[in-house]
Order: sequence, then C-alpha cells, then structure tokens
Amino acid sequence: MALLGLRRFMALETDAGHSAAFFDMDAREVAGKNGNPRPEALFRTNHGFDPETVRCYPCSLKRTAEKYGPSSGP
Amino acid sequence: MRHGRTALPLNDGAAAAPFHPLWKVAHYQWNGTGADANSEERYALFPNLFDAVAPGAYGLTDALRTVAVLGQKGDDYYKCGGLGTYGDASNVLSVAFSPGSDELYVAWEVGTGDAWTPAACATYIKLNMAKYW
Repeated sequence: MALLGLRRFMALETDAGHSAAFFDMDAREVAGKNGNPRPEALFRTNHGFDPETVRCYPCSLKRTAEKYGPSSGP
Repeated sequence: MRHGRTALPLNDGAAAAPFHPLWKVAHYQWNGTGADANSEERYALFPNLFDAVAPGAYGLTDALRTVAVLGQKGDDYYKCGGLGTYGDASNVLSVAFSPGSDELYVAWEVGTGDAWTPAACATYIKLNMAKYW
C-alpha cells in the first residue's frame, strides 16, 4: 500500500472519541514518562504516550463503563 | 476494554525479511484482572529484546521470542514455572506475525484454574496465512 507514500507501521492509541497516531521515535514517546522507543520499531502494552490519552485515563474509564457496563474496569 | 491500542501495517506486504517490528500487547481489563498493573514493566522489556538482535537482522524467530517473553506468566517474564506458578496472569493468545512472508506463530492458553497454562508457555504452531487471503 502506498498510503502517504510511506512504508511504515503506525500505532493508534484509541479511546472513545479520541485516537492518536504514532510512528517510531515519536516525540511524545521520546519525551514521555518511561518512554524508551527504538528506530524502526513500534511497541505498546496498555499505557499511552499521547498527552490527551494519558490525561483522559479516568474519563475514558467512565466512558467504557457507560458503554460496557459495570463488569468492565480495573 | 479500557484503552485500545490498535496497530495498522502501512507497508505493501511485499516480501521483505527482516522486517520492521511492530508490537501490540492487548488485553481486556475486566474486574479481577491485574493485567494493567505492570503495563509499563512489560513496555520496558521490549527495548532489551530488540537490542539483543543486530540491526536489520530481526526476523520471525526473534518476533516469536519477543512475544513469548511478553506474555504474562507470573513474576518472571523469562520463565515458565509450571502449573500453579502463573498467578493472575491473563495471556490467552500469543502471536507473532510476519506481514512480508504471511507466516505467523500462534499459541493458545491451556486449561483453567490451578491447571491453567498461559499461551506463552504453551506450544506454538507455525502457519502460513497466504492461502487464507
């Protein structure tokens, strides 16, 4: 696929109403707390590096509970 | 699911090995699971696994090694301790996929309760997905 003329991978940090796109060595991840990215590699577990994603952890949890019910959440 | 992390391949699928690694570790976070608690710890495991491979040489076997380490299996991610040692780990499925060659390794969890084995400590099978798409 020649999308945007790129041959790269992209990761999306997604919550209801918000998505943030990341390529390797994204400045938000480089500067993020505990961020340790590598060139030509892209990896995530369950925490975000986009400021809005991080800021909205509590509100995204509320949105999830509203959508999926009380069985969701930590 | 609390926070989704979706990864989209933007390459054209042309045969190319070694490939550029892309990783997504996902899980559902229902009541009673501790999968979120060590998210940053698991993130921190990635760089060492990448750095152990020469630049440009990372291949599917390396990917298999990476996912096997990252799968939750108790206190020590580098050790499969056997039945009864996996605590509240929740590694249901473990997959390494090479988009360039259409090959993947996949393992599934085995058993339940005290007899449960996480996917990363089960047997992986290798599949060629080309005939499925």
